[in-house]
Order: sequence, then C-alpha cells, then structure tokens
Amino acid sequence: MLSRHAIIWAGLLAAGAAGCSSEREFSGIWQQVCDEEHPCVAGGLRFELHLGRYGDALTGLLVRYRDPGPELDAYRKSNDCGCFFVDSGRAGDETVSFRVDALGEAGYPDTEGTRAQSCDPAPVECPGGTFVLRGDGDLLTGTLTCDGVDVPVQFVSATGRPRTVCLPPEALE
Amino acid sequence: MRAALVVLLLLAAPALAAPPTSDAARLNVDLGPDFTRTTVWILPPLDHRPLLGAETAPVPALEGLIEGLQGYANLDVRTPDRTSAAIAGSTAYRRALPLARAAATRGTEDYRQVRLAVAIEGLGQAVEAFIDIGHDVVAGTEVGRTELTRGLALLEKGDEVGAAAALRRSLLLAPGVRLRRGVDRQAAVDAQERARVILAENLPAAPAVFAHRPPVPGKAATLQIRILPDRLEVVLHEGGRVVTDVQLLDAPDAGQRLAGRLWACLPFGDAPRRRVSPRRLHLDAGFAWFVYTKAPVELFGNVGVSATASWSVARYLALEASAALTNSGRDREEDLRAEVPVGRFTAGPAFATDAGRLRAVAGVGVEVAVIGPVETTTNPACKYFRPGDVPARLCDFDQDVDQRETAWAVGPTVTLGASLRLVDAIYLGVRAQGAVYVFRTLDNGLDRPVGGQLVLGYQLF
Repeated sequence: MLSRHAIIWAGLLAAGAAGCSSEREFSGIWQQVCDEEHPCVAGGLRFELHLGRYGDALTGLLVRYRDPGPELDAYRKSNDCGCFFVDSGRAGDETVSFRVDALGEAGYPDTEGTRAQSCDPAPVECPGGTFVLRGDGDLLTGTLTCDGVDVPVQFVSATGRPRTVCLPPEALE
Repeated sequence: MRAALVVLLLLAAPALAAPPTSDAARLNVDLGPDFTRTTVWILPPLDHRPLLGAETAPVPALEGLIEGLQGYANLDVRTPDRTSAAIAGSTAYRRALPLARAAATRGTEDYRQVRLAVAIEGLGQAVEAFIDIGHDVVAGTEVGRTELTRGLALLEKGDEVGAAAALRRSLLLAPGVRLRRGVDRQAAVDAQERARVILAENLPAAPAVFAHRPPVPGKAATLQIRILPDRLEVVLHEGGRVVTDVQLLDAPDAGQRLAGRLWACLPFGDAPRRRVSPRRLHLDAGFAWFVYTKAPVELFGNVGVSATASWSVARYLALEASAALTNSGRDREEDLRAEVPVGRFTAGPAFATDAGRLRAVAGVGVEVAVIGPVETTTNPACKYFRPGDVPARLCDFDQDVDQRETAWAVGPTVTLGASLRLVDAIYLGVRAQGAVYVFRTLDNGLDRPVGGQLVLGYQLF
C-alpha cells in the first residue's frame, strides 16, 4: 500500500513537470556526416533523419539527398531524392533504433512535387534498412544494416523544424 | 406653521412622556451578563495596632468596607482569603517558595552556627524572595520572623544600625511577633522594643508600607489596608494610579463611607462587548494546478487560474464556492494529442478557524466539471504526422486515435486550505482539493482530480 501511494505521489510530481517537458531527446533533425570511418552509402547519397520521440517510441522520416560533392551542402531541397517513413522505432536512454523500408527505391516526392521520382546515382539495393544508433551529445553513431551488411553511419544534430510530410499527393487519396 | 408645531410636539412627546432617570438609577440598572466588571483584589489587612500597644479587637468597619464594595454591581471584589489563595496558587509562587524557604532555613542554621555574615546575606535574600512572590501577604508572620532572625544576626555582629532597621521591618511585616524576655537574649529583646517604640512614635505612612504591590493575577486593582487603633488606612493601586485614603473608625458607617469613596476612584467597568459578527467574506484568486489521477494516459498536469469566495456564516462555519479554469499539458509520452480545457466549479460548507494571522479551512462539497474534448493515441506515427501525411499502415487516424467530446462530470469534493494574513486584510493562501466523479455525461476516462491552488486573497469584511 505504501509503495502504491509512493508511486501515485511520484506520478503527481512527475506530472507537474511532464506537462512542459516530455522526453524528447533525439527528437529533431540529424544529418549524416561522412568520413573514412563512416563512408557514405554508394558514395553519392546522404541521409537526413527527421525524428520524433514519444517516450520509448520513435517515429519520423528519413530523407535522402544526392551528394553534390565536396565543399557543397548536400542537404538542400534541390538535392532531395527520396523520403521514407521511420517504422518500428524505439528510443532508450542512449540509443535509438528503427527500420526504413525500400531504402533502395526512388522514394516519394514531397508535397510540392519539386523533385523527380528518380534518384541519380541509383541507390544500392536495400529492401529494408535497420538503423541502430547511439547518442553522444550532438552525434548519433551506429550502423545501418542493409541486406545483412553493416555499414557504419554517423549523424550530427542540425537545427530546424523536422519534416512531417513525405507522401506524394496521389498517395493521400 | 401650525403643522410644524404639531410635528415638533409629536417628536418631543416620547421624550416628555418618559420618566426622568437619575445617574444613580442608570448606574444601578442591570449591567447584563456581558458587562466586564472591575476586579478589585483586597489583600489581607495589615494590623499595626500591636506596634502601638493597642488591642487587636475585630474591626466592624473592615467588614463594612468589604461588604460595601461587594454591594456595587459593577465591581468584582475578591476577598482577602481569595486574594491569598490566588497568590499562593500561582505557578511562579509555587516554584519560588521552596527555594526561598530553603534559603531562609539555611540562613537560620547559619545564624545558629554563628556564621553571621553568611546568615545575614542568606536571610536577606530569603526575605526579598518572599516579598517578590507575595509570601508576605500569604504568611506575613513567617516573613517577619525571617527578617527578625536577620536583625538578630546583625545585632550579634555588632551592626546596631542595620539591626534596628531589620527589626523595624520585621515588626512592620509581623507586628505581633515579639522576642520573649527571659528566653531570648536581653539585648535582642531590648533592641526589638526600641525598634517598636521608634515605629510607634514615627509610624511610616501607608504608601511607604505598601510600596510593593503584591503579584495578583491580571492587571486588576489591588486594595491594601492597614488597621490602626483609630482608623483604617488604604492604598489602592489601579492602573498606574495610587490612591490613598484614611477612614476614622468612630464615624458612623465608616466602612461604607470608605467603600463609597474607593468605588468612586475605580473605573466603572467595560461596557458589554459589541458582538463581532462572524460573517466575513474572503475573496481570493490565484493559480490552480491539478492532475487526474485516473486517466487513459499517463498523468498530465493542468494549470490555470482560480477564484474562491469563502463566506463565514458562524464561528467555525463557512460556505465556500470556487471556480477554476485550466488547460492541460501533455503526458510524458504525449499520448494526449490535444490540450484539454477544464472548468471546475465547487461549492459546499467548510470548517474554518482563525489563529492569529493564520486561517485554516477544511471543507466538503460538490464539484461540477466541464471537460473539453479528449484526444488520445498510443501510435507514435499518429502523434508525429498530421492526418493525410502518413499512410494508413503506419497511422489510421480513424482507428488509432480515440476522440471523446466535451463531457460534464459531477461528484463530491474535499478541500483543505490554509492562509497567512500578510498585511491588513490581504492574505496568501494555499488550498488542496480532490474530487471523485460519480456522474458524467460521457466517459472520457478522466477522474479523481487532485491538485492545489496558490492564491492571493482579500477579506472584504
């Protein structure tokens, strides 16, 4: 009985704070950074994560960009060449993991239709990619497992409002 | 003109018809149970007739004085016996008396052992302690004998001046105490007799004898009386005043006459206290916070404003009504998809008590709550994406989101509150409140609100 009361009172206190600060760690935009230890997939594509965390659950979008080359910013709308829904996402104290289906396909255009359905260079075949990442400050470091092959990846936190739109207009019908 | 005259006569008629009332009659009317009478403590009379070699026969005037004072309806006269009992019953007296007596006993023993210097000091301290607690009123003989022993010690030490003063003081305290010829030392007997003769020839005035006001309870008036062969001398301490009077005993109704003069010197008493109406109105406003301890999602806070009116209708009874408007936050996992506006109205009786600047309230009542639409989901995709932006395989808003419309709920409530008066009629208060809904128009899963308020209030009247 005592423990039950303790839980209730702890909940009351937590609720006071919960109204203003739910667990939102890892929520936000994360952009892939490529280096020797974390080479970019296919050498010409980069990923950007738009994540939303709700307690232990994780959701969001993965946006794929063409790499315009060194010294240039890949994460521009003009380089957008694919968008995928984060599925089966989980978040812990230090780790996040999620799955992205059909990562090797062209992906959906955004709602404004400003990019092509195709992506050049063509992405590698990856019917379902699984990300397992560990957070360390502004870095998310881990692996992308695609068709049984682990690829090291690293993301850095970026400012901005996460995207929540990915479907083409015809898919909304 | 004639009409004006008629009106004046009509107005004056009741006054003309009423019988005249004298001051004495007005003073002797029933003062009522709420009248606060003037308390007069009469101390046991000090009979100084033995100092003058006079007989100590009963003094009818003394009885007449006491009876005369008791005859005044506005006075609460405490007889000498009651006064002695009150002094002896005080806590300070009971605590200090054993110490004073121990000092007196040690001093007496030192005197017997001829440790004169120690005896003189110890006996002197004992006498002062006795007088401080009023023991000279309760048992004047004991105090007088202690002072007499001190005088004897001084005498044996060779301090004749000091001894004479002590012997005179002992005689004033206990006029009937005498050393015995053939039993006590002749020099001591002679010294005491010399002291008595000096006092008889030059008796100190009553104000000097009654310079010390005994510690009677409260701040009431005290009346000290000295009996002399031909007169009564009185000293009346009232407030900061000291009134002295003398009444010759051969006058007819001497006691009554003195009583009349003393009565005229005393305050009449306090008029009946005007009843203070218990009806008071407290209004406060502030911040409200609460949680639904039963909810379809994890606990989430609700914050808003509140206002309460508390009307004290009796000493411990108040009627309270409160209103609070709040808006919800989100639970930890944000299963609650939209903020929930809530209006809560409570009313009911409360037990209210005041203690200085503090006021405490405990009440029960009924709460009527109107709870806005409640929209919940446990699907994270439904939380992140808007309808139409996500495929149904990830989130089907029709299926995965639970939506409940505005609901009304009613149930009993309990309130506990405390407030601290800051300045004038402004107070700072906190209030805790809980309720259980027993009736609702729609089951939205929200129940058992528990929370509190922090308010700033004002007592209107």
